[in-house]
Amino acid sequence: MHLVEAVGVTKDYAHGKMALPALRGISLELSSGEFAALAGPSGSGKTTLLNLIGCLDSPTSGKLTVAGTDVQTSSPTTLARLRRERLGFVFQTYNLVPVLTAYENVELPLVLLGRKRDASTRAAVMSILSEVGLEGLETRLPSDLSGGQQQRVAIARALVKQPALVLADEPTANLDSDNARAILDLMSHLNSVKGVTFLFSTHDQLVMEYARRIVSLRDGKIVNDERR
Amino acid sequence: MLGFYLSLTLKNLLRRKRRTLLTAAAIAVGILYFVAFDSMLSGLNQEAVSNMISFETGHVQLTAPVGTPAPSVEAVLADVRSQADVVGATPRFVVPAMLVAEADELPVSVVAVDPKSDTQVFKQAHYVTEGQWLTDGTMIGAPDTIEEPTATAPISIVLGQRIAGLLGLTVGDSVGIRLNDATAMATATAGAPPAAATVTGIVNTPHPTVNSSQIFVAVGRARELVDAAGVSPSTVVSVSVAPRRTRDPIRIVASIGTIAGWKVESWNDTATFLAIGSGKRTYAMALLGLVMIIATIGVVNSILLSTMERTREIGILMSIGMTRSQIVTLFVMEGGGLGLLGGLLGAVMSVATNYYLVEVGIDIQSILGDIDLDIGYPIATAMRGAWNWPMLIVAVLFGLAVSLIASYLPARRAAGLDPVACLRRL
Ligand SMILES: Nc1ncnc2c1ncn2[C@@H]1O[C@H](COP(=O)(O)OP(=O)(O)OP(=O)(O)O)[C@@H](O)[C@H]1O
Ligand SMILES: [Mg+2]
Repeated sequence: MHLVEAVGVTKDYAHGKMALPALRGISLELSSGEFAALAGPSGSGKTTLLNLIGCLDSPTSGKLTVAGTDVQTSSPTTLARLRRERLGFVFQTYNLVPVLTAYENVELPLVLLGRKRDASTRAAVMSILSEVGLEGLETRLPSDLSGGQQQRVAIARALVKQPALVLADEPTANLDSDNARAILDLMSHLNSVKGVTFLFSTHDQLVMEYARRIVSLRDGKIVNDERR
Repeated sequence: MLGFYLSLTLKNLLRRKRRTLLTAAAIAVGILYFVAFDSMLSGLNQEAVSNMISFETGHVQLTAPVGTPAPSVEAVLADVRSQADVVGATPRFVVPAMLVAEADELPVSVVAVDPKSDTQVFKQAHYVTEGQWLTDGTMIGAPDTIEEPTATAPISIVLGQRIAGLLGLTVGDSVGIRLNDATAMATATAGAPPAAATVTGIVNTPHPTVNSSQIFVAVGRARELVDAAGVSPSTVVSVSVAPRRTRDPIRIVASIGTIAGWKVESWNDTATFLAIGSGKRTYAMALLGLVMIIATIGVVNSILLSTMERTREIGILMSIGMTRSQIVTLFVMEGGGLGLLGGLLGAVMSVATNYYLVEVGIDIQSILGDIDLDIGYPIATAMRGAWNWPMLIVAVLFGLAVSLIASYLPARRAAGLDPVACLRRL
């Protein structure tokens, strides 16, 4: 069984009375341990597909299964639990809760999972923070961190609960190439060493160099799916 | 989990210090307004009750049936005085009369008092501003005379200050008293000459009715007046009782039990006519409602703004797996924080303001100027507040409850947002 299975998934957005198709029949399988990129020009449907796989939205038609759960027929509460327990998210910018420190932002998913704020939780948070290279910055607020550091916090927050899948929507689009490279190195490292499954979207050539699978979208359709 | 919520709530409230403070201040002012209003009402009530006890009824009042002969009254008095919790008891009766001073006539109440025991129960004697309170004798300068020297000697009377003012009387002046007997009123045969009396004292009490309409006469001389006017059979005598401790009245009422034909009441029973207790309190509650509507608008506005400013944050929290009810909790707790802060602020402001209202009060006379304040209600010229801690607690809790409820609607709206739509906002 695949981690993600999409069969003929479509998504229409209501635009006044018209239904604008953003995805037109996506069929895709994603397995554990993959490091895959969704590539395509602006408006091709990358974010829409990531949101569907991330259970933040439901398909208009077709069948989408994420970690064994049918996204279309599940209640909002079930989907929230799935996100809480199995999925991690990294967005392009403004990922963090602004009043919480780097440490507290990373701790948040564990709190939501009902973990006590004890020594073992603290150890887990500190170790993931050091893994993304943020030792010493735990008590900083997001506004006191650089864009690259903020993305590291977001990655740490996505990883701290050891999710089945991390979805990253253009995680490096707001970073300069050095910082982008560092973030990609980190994600790639986490994938190969810890087996974390990543699906990220990009239209950046640099990012695609890192990907071990590239799914190309155009006008809401998959036009190419290549593994390297 | 709760600790995390609490610290997150606190941080979010601190992030918008000005708005938080303004909203809390609105709640606080609402609480203050209500507490002060209630304090003044309670103060009025307390003063009215205390005036009634001190000048009209005593803590317990026994009212004789019409036409009770004097020996029966004496017997009841003796019986009441023998009760363990009783420190004093005195008889009184009141008859309507006209006070005649040269060409002027003024309707008054003649209050017949027993000079020997009246001060055990009533406080008029402490408020004599001119002359002196009634003594056993009726002759000026002969206080210890037990027997009336002659039946024609003028009657000593003590006047309320306002009567004296209206008629221009001072101690030593001669006046006439003519009792209003029923037949005389009906047939307008008030031709008989009024009984001669001399002003021996003037009282100025906190009880306006006393000042404006009562004249005090020793009970013996009052009897003569009553007998002469032929109103004796309709005279109602009462016995007023002072208890050992102020909370004893009810016990005394119980221990006296029933006396055939007599009515036995504690001030609690009598005070029910002071409708301010219930009627005006409804008004206060309506005021509380109004004020809290303002607070509600403040809280709804504040939380709604928070949810709108933090739309993206809501999307992020949803993507991490926060459920709708957790989002609701987050914002309702923020509303609760506003309510708590407002309540705290309101309590401090209320206590400070109420301290002033209780200790200093509001001087009605300075507000009304020379207008005579006789609203037929036993209060003096300065309105004092009263401490009413349960009301303060109720007001604070009410503010908190209102804040929680008011924040629920915008919180629910936020929780119902589409996460994808939230995340599209930057
Ligand atoms: N909430 C929405 N309402 C209406 N139309 C939408 C909505 N979200 C996306 N769309 C439309 O759906 C199509 C796909 O959008 P999507 O955001 O998935 O593209 P994308 O590949 O992520 O583009 P970009 O590279 O610019 O982020 C676009 O035409 C977009 O305008
Ligand atoms: Mg996009």
